[in-house]
Amino acid sequence: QVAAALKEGRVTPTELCQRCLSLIQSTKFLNAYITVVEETARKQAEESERRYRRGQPLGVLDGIPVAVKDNFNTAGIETTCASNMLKGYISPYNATVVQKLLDQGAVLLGKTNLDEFAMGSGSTDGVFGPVRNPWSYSRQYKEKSVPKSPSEDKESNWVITGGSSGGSAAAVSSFTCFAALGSDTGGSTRNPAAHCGVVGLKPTYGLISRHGLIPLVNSMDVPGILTRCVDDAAVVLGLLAGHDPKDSTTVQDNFKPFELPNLTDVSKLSIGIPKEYHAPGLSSEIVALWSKAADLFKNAGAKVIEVSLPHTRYSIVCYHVLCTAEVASNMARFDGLEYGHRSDMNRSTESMYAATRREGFNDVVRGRILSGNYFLLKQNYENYFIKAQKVRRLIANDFVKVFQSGVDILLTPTTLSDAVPYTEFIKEDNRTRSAQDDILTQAANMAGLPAISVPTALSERGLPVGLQFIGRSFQEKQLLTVAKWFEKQVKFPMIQLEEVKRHDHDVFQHQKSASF
Amino acid sequence: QEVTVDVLDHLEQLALVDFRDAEGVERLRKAIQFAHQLHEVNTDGVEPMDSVLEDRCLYLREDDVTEGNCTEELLKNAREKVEEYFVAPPGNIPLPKLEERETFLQG
Repeated sequence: QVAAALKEGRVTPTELCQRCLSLIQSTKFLNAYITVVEETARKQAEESERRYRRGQPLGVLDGIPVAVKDNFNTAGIETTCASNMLKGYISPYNATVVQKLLDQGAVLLGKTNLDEFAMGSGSTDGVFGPVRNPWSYSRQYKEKSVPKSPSEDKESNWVITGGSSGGSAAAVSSFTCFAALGSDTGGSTRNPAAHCGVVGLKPTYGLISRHGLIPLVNSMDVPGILTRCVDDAAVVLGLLAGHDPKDSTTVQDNFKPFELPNLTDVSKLSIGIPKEYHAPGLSSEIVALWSKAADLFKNAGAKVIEVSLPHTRYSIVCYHVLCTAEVASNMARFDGLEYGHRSDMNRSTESMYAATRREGFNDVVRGRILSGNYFLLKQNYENYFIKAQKVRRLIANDFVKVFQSGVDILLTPTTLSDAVPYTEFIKEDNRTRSAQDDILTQAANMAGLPAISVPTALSERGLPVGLQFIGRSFQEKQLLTVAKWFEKQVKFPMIQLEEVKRHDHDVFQHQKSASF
Repeated sequence: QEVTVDVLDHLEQLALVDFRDAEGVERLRKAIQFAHQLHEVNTDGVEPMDSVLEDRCLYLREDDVTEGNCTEELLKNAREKVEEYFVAPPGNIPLPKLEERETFLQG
């Protein structure tokens, strides 16, 4: 819609850019952005405006403000991964996906906050502090929250965004940009999307280039897309997908961008409900919503059946071993020699490396490196690393079997509950939290499948809850078509934030406010 | 299986990262315990999976030089350099042994 407005001249790229930049300023307390590049953004907006005046926009994304998670390299802009290790590191190049966005004329507003090196499920463990969920400040949440004591500071009630792409999710959710890039290794795009009431798409592994995305787990990482509606996600996907010679793990198949049809007849669809996703700790609210969604499909004529993915409960353990092992390897490059933080210790190369890493990494990162190295020790390699790889195959095969039996799409919850208050969240350590929160999203990364979280309804506390659809490899079109149909049915309400004034809503409005 | 101080020391040397305190060591112990659940799964006859794209051919491009000449750019991010060299402190000096190192494991 905003692209149409730009084309028709109802709003100009520079106006749009300025509004977003002002909004970023007024929502600074959310801590969604690590770096805001006002000057370059304005320049990009001006160039875009010139193109529109000539009647030659580069495409639908020309002039659209976007944000990028701070673990993507952006030329000339600080890229920190929310870590002391990379504070002050100015990327010499653009990640492929960033380059693609810029080539389309998108206006890059800044880099968003995350858990350090994307390790975490709350966006609370970065060196720049935690990200606050915009919904903490929504009328919907404030109406439902009852202060425990008359003197309780309303400030302390704020809830987390989920993670690790929390900054990107918060940025999209608070209207400071129209699309944002995240990354997804265990659910890092879908989890915050569900908590922030936005669409979070994890594409099939191998569809979008990882060149320039600072790697966590090379065999599972994918760039993620966060937008306010499914159509937007499809548009961004169309611009980013495709083979990249700089990333040999991208497939060489020809990718054709698609427009999503308006599905009206779902009677030919077969929706699978995996019973193992009824995980321990799943809130009764979400169980009810999940059930309601299944009924929605059933009543519309689709075939809805219960299926089984028996190895689901091992996906977290499997992930734990494989992730820490790959992290141990990927973090080895940070030694202070060529880039990033460097310790003053200079007695020997090794002691300099050790000191640099001691100073640069937080507890979470160090913990994973040490665990990973443990699992890779000669005496443990077979029993832990290889074993985990075998279990990975079993998990991936579970999905193959289910899809082969005729199921088109799987419908599952995305998170165990709505967003918890920060003070609650930090009571448990990062690993425990990640193990709990990733359980519904992780298996899709194991198997490399595409998955999307769609905002479904508000919880009793007035916070967003999302549901997840998982599709077949490289069948994003089908996945998004179903997701779009679902989105239309549930009519998720728009966030009501004081910071976003009435007149801005005309440009930003997407859905009517009825509820599911 | 107890994780001995020897193993912890070995890990610190391999990873070049330290267990800062008792919490760090406890974290590792919990991680190992957690990983034990893997052994409940029967994986007889199952091949390890490296990549979900294992059925495809890896893309290899022609061995032609298409980019480069960015020495200045790359050197910009390094703290210590001399001309076109990254400068490191003297190498081939092993990390001090456990007794001589300033590490939590000593205690």
